[in-house]
Amino acid sequence: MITVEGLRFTYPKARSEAVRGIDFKVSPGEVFGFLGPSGAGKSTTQKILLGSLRGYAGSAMVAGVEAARADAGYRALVGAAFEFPCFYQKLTGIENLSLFASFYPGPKDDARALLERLGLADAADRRVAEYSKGMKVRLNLARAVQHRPRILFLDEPTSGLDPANARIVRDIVRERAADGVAVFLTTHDMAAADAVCDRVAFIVDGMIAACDAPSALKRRYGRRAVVVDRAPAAGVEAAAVGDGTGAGQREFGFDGLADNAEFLAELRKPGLLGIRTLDSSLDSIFLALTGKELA
Amino acid sequence: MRGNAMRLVAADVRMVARDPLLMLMPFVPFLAAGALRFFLPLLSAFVDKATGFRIMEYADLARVVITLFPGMFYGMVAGFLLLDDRDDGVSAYWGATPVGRSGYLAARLGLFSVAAFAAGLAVGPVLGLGRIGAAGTLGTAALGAAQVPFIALFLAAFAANKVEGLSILKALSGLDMAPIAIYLSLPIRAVGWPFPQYWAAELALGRNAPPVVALVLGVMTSVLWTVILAARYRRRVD
Repeated sequence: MITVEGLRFTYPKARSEAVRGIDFKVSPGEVFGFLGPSGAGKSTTQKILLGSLRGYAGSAMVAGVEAARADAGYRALVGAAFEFPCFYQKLTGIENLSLFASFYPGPKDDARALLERLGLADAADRRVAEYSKGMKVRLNLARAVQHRPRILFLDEPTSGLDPANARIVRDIVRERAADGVAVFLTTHDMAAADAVCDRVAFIVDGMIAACDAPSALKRRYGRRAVVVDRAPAAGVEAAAVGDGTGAGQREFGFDGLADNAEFLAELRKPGLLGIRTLDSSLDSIFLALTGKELA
Repeated sequence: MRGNAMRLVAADVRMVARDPLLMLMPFVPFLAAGALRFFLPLLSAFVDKATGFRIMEYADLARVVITLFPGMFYGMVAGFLLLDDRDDGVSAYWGATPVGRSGYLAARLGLFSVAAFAAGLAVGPVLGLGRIGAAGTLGTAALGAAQVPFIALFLAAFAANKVEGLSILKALSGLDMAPIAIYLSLPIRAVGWPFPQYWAAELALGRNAPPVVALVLGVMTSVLWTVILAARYRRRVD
C-alpha cells in the first residue's frame, strides 16, 4: 500500500537533508510504527506521503500513486490525524466531524456511534473550544477514520490519553488494520508502538536505523535467557535466595533449558512467582542502536 | 465541486454567526453609509461656512469610497477566520483532505468576495449621496470585492495573532482613502497606482484615465496582489 524507496528531502535553505535515503513498505492490514525523536524526519516523511511536500528525491508511492502527484482522489483514500488536533473551535464536535466527512465519497461510519465509543458522546454537541486536550486527541482519531480510509496516517494518536482511552484508541487502530487498512503510525511512545504495531522503524537523523517486528527486535537485542522469580522462604532474606542476578531471581540461558536440571529444580521449589524472558524494551534497543533517547 | 464549496461556505457562515465581533462586521459599511447620509450634509454646511470648502462637491468620491467599504470589512472577517485556522492548524489539515488547501482557500475567499460585491452594490443607495452610474457602481463593487483576498491574505500572512491583526487592519484601512489620489497631480498621484482602490475611483469618476483602462489596471493590480499574498500565506502555513 505504501512503498518508499531512496526517499530524500531537503527543506529550502536548509544545509542538510531532513530525510536521507529511506526505504520501507507498509502492506494492507499492517500497522507500521515510525519511531524517532523530534527532528528525526518523521513528520517530513509523513508530509511527503500525504502529498503536502513535493520536490523530494526517490519514490514515495501510496496506493499506486506517487505522492508528489497526490490529487483529490488520492486524498479521499487517506485518513490523517496530525499530532496537534486541529478543529474549528466554534463548531461542535459533531459539526466538525460532519463537515469533514462530507467531502469524502462512499459510506461512512456513524459519527455519533464513533464518538460514543471514544467516550465523547456527551461532548458531541459542545463546541470544540471547550474540549480538553485528550478529548481533542480522540476527536482527531474519529475524524481520521470516519470516512473508512484505506490508508491511515496517525501522529501520536495516544498522546495525552489516560490508559483506558489509550486502549480504546489502540483497539480501533487494530480493528481498522484487521479490515485491511494500512496504518502509518508516528510516535515517540515506544510502549504504544509495542502494543499496536506489527512492525516498527527507528528513524534518526533522517535515516532508518532498524526496521522489524517489535517482538523480533526485542529478541534480537535482548538476552537469550529466562529469569525465575521466587518469593524468599519464610525467615530468609531475599538477597540470600538469588545467585547474583538479584533478590529471589535466577537466570538460565535458553540453550538446553528443557534439560537444565537446576532450572527444573528451581521450578519445583516453593514460592515460584513467575518466569520471564530477558527481551529488550524498544526504548533500550533504540538507545543501543542510535545512542539517542526518545524524548 | 460546487457542493464542496457550499458546505465550506455554510460552515463559515455558522462560525461568523457564533462570533459577535465577526457577526457585526458585515453590517458596518451599511451603518457607516447611514451615518454619512445624515452627517455629511451637516458637516459640509459647517465646513463650507467656516472655510469655504464644499465637501458635498466630492459626494461622488464618497460614494466610491463607501462602495469599496464592504470589501474591506468582509476581507477582515475572512482574514480573521484564516488567522484562526492558521493558528489552529486547520488550514494545513485541509491539505490532507480531498478539498485541498487551494479549494478551501478559494471557497472562503470566494464567499466573502461575492458577499462584498453584493454589499458594494447595496451600500450606495443607503448613502444616497453622489452618483457614479451603473457601470461605475458595478466596476467599483467588483474592485471592492477584490479587496477581500488582499485584506484576508495580508492578515493571515503577516499577523502573528489577532491583536497584531487589528494593528495591521488599522494600517490597511487607509487604502480605502486611495481614491483621493485621483485629485492629486503627478507625480504624487502615482502613489495610488499600485492599489485597486485607486483604479476603482478612476473607473467610476473617469478623472485621469478612461474607465476601460482603469478597469483593466484595477483587475491587474488585484490579481497581482492576490498572487503575491497567496504565495506568502502558503509559506506561512507550511
